[in-house]
Amino acid sequence: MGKIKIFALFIVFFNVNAICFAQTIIEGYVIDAENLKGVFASVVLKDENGKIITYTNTKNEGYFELKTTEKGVFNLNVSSLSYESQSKKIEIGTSSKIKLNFNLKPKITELKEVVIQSRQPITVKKDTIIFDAKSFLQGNEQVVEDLLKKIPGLNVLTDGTIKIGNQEVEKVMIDGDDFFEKGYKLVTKNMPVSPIDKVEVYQNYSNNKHLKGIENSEKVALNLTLKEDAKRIWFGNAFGGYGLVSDNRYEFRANLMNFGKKSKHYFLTNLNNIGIDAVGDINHLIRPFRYDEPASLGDNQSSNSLLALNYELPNLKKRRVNLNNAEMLSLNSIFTLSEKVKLKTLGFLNTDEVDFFRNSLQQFSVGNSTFANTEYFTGRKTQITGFGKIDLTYNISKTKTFEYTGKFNKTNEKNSSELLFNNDLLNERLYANNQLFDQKVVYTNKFKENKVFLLSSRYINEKTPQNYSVNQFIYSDLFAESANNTKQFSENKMQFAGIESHLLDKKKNGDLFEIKIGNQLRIDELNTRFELLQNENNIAFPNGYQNDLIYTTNDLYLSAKYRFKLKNFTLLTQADAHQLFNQLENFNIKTNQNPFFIMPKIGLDWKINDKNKILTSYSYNTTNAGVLDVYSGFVQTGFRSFSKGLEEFNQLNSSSAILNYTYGSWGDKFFANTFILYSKNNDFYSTNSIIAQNYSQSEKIIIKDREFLSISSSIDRYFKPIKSNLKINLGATKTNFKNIVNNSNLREVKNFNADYGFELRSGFRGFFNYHIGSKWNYNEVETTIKNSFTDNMSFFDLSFMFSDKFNIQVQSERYYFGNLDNENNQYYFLDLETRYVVRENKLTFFLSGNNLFNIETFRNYSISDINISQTEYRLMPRYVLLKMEYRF
Amino acid sequence: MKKSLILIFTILFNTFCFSQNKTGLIIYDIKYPNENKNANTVETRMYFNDTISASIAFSTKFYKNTKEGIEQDGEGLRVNFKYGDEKGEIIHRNFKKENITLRFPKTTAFDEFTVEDTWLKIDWKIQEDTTKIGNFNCKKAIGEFRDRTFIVWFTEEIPMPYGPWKLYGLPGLILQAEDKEKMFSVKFKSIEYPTSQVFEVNKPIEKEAKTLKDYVFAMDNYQDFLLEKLRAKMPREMASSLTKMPSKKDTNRTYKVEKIFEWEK
Repeated sequence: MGKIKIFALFIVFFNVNAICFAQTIIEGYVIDAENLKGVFASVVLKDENGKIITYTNTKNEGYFELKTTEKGVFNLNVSSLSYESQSKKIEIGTSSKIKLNFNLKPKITELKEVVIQSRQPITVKKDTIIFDAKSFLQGNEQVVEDLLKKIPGLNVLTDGTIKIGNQEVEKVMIDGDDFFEKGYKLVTKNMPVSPIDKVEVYQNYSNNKHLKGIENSEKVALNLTLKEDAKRIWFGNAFGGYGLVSDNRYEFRANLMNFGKKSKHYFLTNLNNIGIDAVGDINHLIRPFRYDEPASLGDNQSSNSLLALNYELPNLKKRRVNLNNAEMLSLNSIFTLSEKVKLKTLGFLNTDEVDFFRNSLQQFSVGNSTFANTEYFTGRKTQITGFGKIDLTYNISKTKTFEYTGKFNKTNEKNSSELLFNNDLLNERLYANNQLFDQKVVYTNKFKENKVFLLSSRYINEKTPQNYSVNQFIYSDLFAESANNTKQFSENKMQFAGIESHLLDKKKNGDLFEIKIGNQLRIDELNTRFELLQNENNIAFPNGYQNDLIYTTNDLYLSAKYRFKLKNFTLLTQADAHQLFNQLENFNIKTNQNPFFIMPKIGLDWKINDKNKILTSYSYNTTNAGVLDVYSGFVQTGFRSFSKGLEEFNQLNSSSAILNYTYGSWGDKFFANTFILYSKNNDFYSTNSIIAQNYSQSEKIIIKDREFLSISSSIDRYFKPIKSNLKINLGATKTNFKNIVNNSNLREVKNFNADYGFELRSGFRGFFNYHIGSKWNYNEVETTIKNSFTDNMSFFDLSFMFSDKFNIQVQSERYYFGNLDNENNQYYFLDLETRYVVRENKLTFFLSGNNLFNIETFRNYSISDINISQTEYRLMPRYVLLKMEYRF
Repeated sequence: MKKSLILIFTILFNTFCFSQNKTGLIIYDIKYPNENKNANTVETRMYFNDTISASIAFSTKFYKNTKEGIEQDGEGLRVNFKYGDEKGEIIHRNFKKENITLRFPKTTAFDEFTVEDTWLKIDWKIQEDTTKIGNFNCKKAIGEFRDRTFIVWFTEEIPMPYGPWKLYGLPGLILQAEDKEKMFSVKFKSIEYPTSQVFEVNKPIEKEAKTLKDYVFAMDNYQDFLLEKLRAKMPREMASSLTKMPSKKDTNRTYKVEKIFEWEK
C-alpha cells in the first residue's frame, strides 16, 4: 500500500505544471468505455449559460488538462465523433486541482450535409467561360492585352501571343466579328480597355460554327463584348521614326479603329525603307492556307509563273537584305446589315521598290567540261498591288448558313536589271502582272445533332502574263540566225472550278466518320512565244521554243475517313479514290488520258503516358502532272536558262512515312522532340540538261526512285545552378536522286545535309540576361565528285532592364563560311535597340541602330550538283533611327 | 485496492491508440487573396479520421479534366489550372504528434516538394454570436494567425478541432472563415462521415523537403523564379520583345494569407 501511495504521489507530481495563483487545473482521462483505450476528444468548460470558458483536446492516452482562474459552477463537456458526449458538473472553488475521468460510449455517427454556394462573377456555360471585365480591372490597364493578362487561365506571352494552356487562340473577335484571324495582335496591342464589357473564352472552337462538337477541334477563340455606350469611338496609335546619322531612313505606322454595333472599322498603314516586310503579316489573309479544314476547296490552286529575274537573297534576317521602299495601306470594315446578314470588306494597297546588288562567280564542272561564269548584277523591282476581299454571311436559319467570299487581286510588277555577264553587258526587262478573281460559296446544313453536311463551290480565274526582253544575244551556239536581242512572252491563264460535298458524322463513342465527294476542274492555258530580233525587227520564232497549250484536268474524287477513338490511341484510316480525265491540246493536237487511282493513308497517335507521345502516319500518294510538267516548247526562264516539260501525261507515285516522338512537354525541365520523315518517290521529275557557258537547256524527264530521309531532334534542359536553359538541335537530311547532264548516263546525285547547334539562354531575375548560340551547317553534294563545306552562324544577345521604363537590347551575330578565302569568310553584325517610356501606354521613345559595324557586302558559298558558287550581296547599310510612339 | 488498480491501469495503458478509425470527408470552397478581386476559388477536400486531417486541393484524381480554365461543378464553380497533379496540394496535420506537413505539386518554377510547417496554437477568442450554417448551429470565434485576423464559425455538433487550411484548434469543426480584410474566405460545402473514400494517413514525402524559411522565400519571389525559367526557354526572336521588368514584389505580403512569420516578428 505504501509503495502504491508513493507511486501515486509521484504520478501526481509528475503531472503538475507551474502553479499560478488561484489557478485551478482540471485534468483527467477520456477513455473508450468498451476497450478502455484513450480517445481523441474535445473537452470544453462552459458556464451555466453555455458560454465557453476554456477548452482543449485530449493528448496521449486520452489525457487532458485545462487551466482556469474562474470560480463557480461549471459544466465540463467531453465530446468526440463516434462517441456519445458526456457532461459533468464541476464546482471550482478553492481546490487547485480537479480530476475527472470520462468513459465514453461508442456511438454510430453519421453526417451528411451539402450547402449550396453563391454565384461568382465568372459564368460558365458548356464550352464558354464569361469573365465580367469590371471585376478584373484594377485601373492601370490601357490596352486589351493588359486586361487579358489579369484573367485567370489566359497566358499572354511577352510578344503578345495569347494562349490558353499550350493552345494559341485562333482569333480575337469584337462583339462576335473577326477582322484578322491570327493577326489578332493588331487588336490586342492597340485597342483600349475602357469599352470592354466582358471577355468570353470559347473552347473546342470551330471556325465553322455548325462543326462545333463534330470536328475534333482543340482550337480556342476569344470574344470581347463591348459596352453599349462605349461603341462608336475612334482610337488608335501612331508610330514614326526617322534616321539620325544615316541617309533618309524612315518608318511610319498607324492604326485607327472604330467599333460600332452596325459597323466596325479598322484602318492601318505602314511606310518604311528599313527592310520591314509589313505585307508578310497580311499575306495569310489574302491567301490563307488551311490544312485539313472543311470547305477549304481550292486553297491549294494557284497560277504559276515561269519567268523570273534572279533575286535570290542570302540567308540573313530579312531586314538586312531587303533594300526596300514600301508603302502599305489597309482598310477593313464589317457591316451588320441585318440580324441574319453580315458583310465584311477588306481592302489593301501596297507599293514597293526593292533593289538588288549581287556579284557572283560560278564554277561549273559537268562531265568533262569545266568553265566559270561571272555576273555583276544590279536590279530593281517595282511593284504595286491592290487587293480586295468581300465576305458575305447569311444565316438562313439556326442550322443553315450560306457564305460567299470574293477576292480580287491585281499586281503590276516591273523588273529591270543591268548585268555584266562575263564580257557582255545585258539589260533585262521583265514585266509581270497578276490578276486574280476568286469566288467561293459555302452552304452548311447541320441536319442532325451530330451530323453536318457542307456543300462548297469555288471558281478561280488567275492570269499571270509575263514579258521578258534581253538586249543582247548570247545564244549563237543554239541558233544559226544572227540576232542581237531576244524577247520572251508568256501567258499563263488558270481557271479552276470545283464543287465538293462533305458529310461529317460524329458517333456517340467519339469516332468521327467523314466522306467527301467532289469534282475539280482545272484548265491551264500556256502560250509562250520566244523571238529573236535584230534591233526592232523580228528575225525568227525558233521551232521548239514556242507553246500553245491547253491542259485540262478533271478530277472526280471520293474521300472516306474514319477516326477511331480508343483509350490512349487515336487511329485514323483514310482512302481517297480519284478518277481523272486529262486532256492535252498542244498546237491543236488533242490527246486524252483517263487514269484512276486510290490513295490510302493510315495514322496512329499514341499517348503512352503523360510524358511520352508517339505520332505515326503512312500514306501512298499519286500526283497528277501539272501544266508546268507537260509543256513541250522551251521557255526562256532567265537570261541563260531554257526549260521545257515532258510533253505527256503522268501520274507519279510516292509513299511517305512519318514518326514523331515527344518526351515531356514544353514547361518540363527536360524536353525532347524527335521527328523522322522518310519519303520515297517511286517516280519523280528530274531533268535532262545541256549546260554550256552561255545557256542551259533543261527538259523534264521521269526517273525512278528518289529517296528522302530527314531526322531532326531537339532537346531542352534547364540547369538550375546557372539559371539557364540549354537547347540542343540536331538534324540530318539525306536525298538521293538522279539526273542527266550533257548527255551523260543517268547519274546519281547524293545530297547530305547536317545541322547541329546549341542555344543557351539565361533566366536571371536581375536586370541582365544573355542568349548565346551557335549552329553549324554541313553540306555535301556527291555525283562523280564530292563537294562539301561547313558554315557556322553564332549569335550573342544581351538584354539590360534598367527599370520599367528604360531598357536596352543588344544583338550580335557572326557568320563563318568554311570554303571562302580567309579575308572574306567571317562577318560580324551588331544591332542595338533602346526603349524609353515617357508615359506608360501613351508615349514611348525608341532609339534603334542596325548593322552598327556597317558591313556593306556579304559573301556566301554554295554548291549544287553542277556548280560551286560564291556570291556577294549588298546589305542594308548602317542606320540609326529615332522613333516615337503615341497612343490615342 | 481498487484505487491502486485504477492507477496501475492508467499507468500501464501508455500506448495511445484510438478506436473507430473511420474516415470522413469535408469539402470547402476556399478563396485565396489575389490581385484579381474575384478569382481563384478552389474546391478543397479535407479528409479526416480521429487524429489526422489532410486537406487536399488541385488534385487530378478528383478533376479528370485539368484543362486550364474554369468549369461548372454542379451549381458551384471549380477552377482548374494546369497546376496540380494526382496528389495535389496537401496540408497534412497529425493532431497526436502535433505536426503539420505541406506538400506542393510541380510548377514551372519548382519540382514537387514538402515543407514541415510549425505547429502554432491559435489563440481563439470565442464570441457569443451564433448562426446556422446548413443544419449546424455555429458559434463565432476570432483568432490571429501569422498577422491575419480570422473570423470563423465553428460547430460543436462536430466536435473535432479540425478546420480548413491552417485554421484549427476550436472545440468544433470550423465551417466558415473569413479574414478581416475580406481577402481570404472559406465556405463549407459538404460533409460525409463516415465515407467510403480512403486517404493517405501517412505524412507526404517528396524528393525535396524545403525548410519553412526556404519555402516562404520561394513564394515571396515566385514570379522571379518563374520568369527565370521561362526566359531561359524563349526562342531567340522573342528577345527584342522582352521589355518589362518583373512586377514589383509584394513585400508586405498583401496578397498572401500568411503575412508575417514567427521569425520575422
